[in-house]
Amino acid sequence: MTLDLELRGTSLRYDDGTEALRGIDLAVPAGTILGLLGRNGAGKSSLMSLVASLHRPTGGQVLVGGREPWERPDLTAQVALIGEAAEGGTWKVRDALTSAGYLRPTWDPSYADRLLDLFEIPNVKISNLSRGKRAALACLVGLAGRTPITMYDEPYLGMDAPTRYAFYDEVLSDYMVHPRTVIISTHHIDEVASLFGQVAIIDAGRLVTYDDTDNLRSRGVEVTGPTSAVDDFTSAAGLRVLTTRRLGGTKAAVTYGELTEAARRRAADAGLELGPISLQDLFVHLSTPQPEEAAL
Amino acid sequence: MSTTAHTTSHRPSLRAAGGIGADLAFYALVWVGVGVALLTINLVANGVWGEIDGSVWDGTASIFQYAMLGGGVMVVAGYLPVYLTHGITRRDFTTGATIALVGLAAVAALATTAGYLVESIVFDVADWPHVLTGEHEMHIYDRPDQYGLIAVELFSLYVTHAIAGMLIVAALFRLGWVFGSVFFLAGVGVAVGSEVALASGAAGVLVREWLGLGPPPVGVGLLITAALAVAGALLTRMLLTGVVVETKDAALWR
Repeated sequence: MTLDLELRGTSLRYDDGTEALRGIDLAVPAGTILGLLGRNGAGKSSLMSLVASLHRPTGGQVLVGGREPWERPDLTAQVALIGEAAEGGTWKVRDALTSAGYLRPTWDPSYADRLLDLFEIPNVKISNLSRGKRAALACLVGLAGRTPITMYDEPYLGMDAPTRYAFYDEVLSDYMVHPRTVIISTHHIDEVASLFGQVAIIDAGRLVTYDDTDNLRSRGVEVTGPTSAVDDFTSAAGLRVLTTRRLGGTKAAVTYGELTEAARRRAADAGLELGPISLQDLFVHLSTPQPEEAAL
Repeated sequence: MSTTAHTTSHRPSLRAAGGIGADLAFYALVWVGVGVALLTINLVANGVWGEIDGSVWDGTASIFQYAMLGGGVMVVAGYLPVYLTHGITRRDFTTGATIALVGLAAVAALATTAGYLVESIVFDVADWPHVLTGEHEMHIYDRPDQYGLIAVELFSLYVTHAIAGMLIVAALFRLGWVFGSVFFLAGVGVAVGSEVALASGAAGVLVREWLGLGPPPVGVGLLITAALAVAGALLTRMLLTGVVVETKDAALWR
């Protein structure tokens, strides 16, 4: 079972007056793996907390499968938010899994057992687990829950690299067998980017961009060459210059926009080099105020 | 040990009740241990330094309603974030928690009542008088062998105290420390109100004595207690239905 997700002009204002989200419009088709990128405080967690019905939007709507999920048990049961793993009180690992299995209609206990072995999580009090193992346990709950909309709000902070990669592999392999909508918020963009079918970047509570990952990547281009040629080209091509660096008469401009084949030929004719930029760099430049021009 | 899932075909509120109830069973066992320990201490203390001239269990058991109040606090404070994070709605959580606590109240009331029965056997063997002797005793029963009335009084008290605990924490969750504290009085009102109505517990007896009231008519006492329980439960539900959980407090386990 898969469910789509839609935010229509969604805003969230906290009691202290903080505008966490400002009129977000976002439609995530069912069965998408979405990378939700944003700086600290950009509104990623707030967005996911609305989908998980931990909060209620102060403006606009959140729709899961076309309906608002707030206090609808048939919808809230279809959404999981896996956040940074709490230290835990008295429960042991098995207690947490039994509880999750009891509450999650789609829980797969045998898969949970396999993941326990894969992530090498011992059955001890959760408070006695290392931060990395607690994170792995949270990810396990997200995976074995098989919830139609599963959101990971950077739960893997503290996990070592091999375990993180094992988690990414599991997300993808389990998704292939049990398609669902997966939303991953992360700062480890490059190591997880290959998972993303789509990427949404939010900044200061606003949606900066939302696109297929390949489209987004293709829109980010670094143009390098003589300063005047770079300026002329970016202007004529209608590219948005995100940042520039200069060394003598040479300039490198990180740009964002549609680059046609004709424009690429013009760039080559003008002696300009066009290079790709990583999703991480694109995210940094799209979500950061444009800095002063730097030296190459 | 396998992470075998229980059946998940039940209504969410029943799943919540089952999950919370399973944990409360452990909580109840702890309190059985506490009760036995307290009774032993009480018996030994009375036997060594005093005189056993009536039920010791009656005094010992009078604190158990406060354990139920603690249970109500614990259930909301400890489980609400976990259950919301696992997709249970606030309404279903409230219903499930109430069912679990009422179930615990029933079991605890029967177990405590059984304490009177066990005590009567021990007292019979030791040839001690099994009567109520407390200076301020009232209750809706007047002998320690009126097991039906004892069970009903204890069950009613346990339910109101558990709901009082839920109400206090629900208000703090929903309204924060400043405004939520106002509802602390409402919670105390439900707990003490039921004690007064049933002439049980220190507060209830003292208030009745202060008001110059004797033991209550059973029907009236139970009716008032039931009304307090229903009002407290509805207020708790109203408060919890709008509660928000901060993302940092969203919990996958307790």
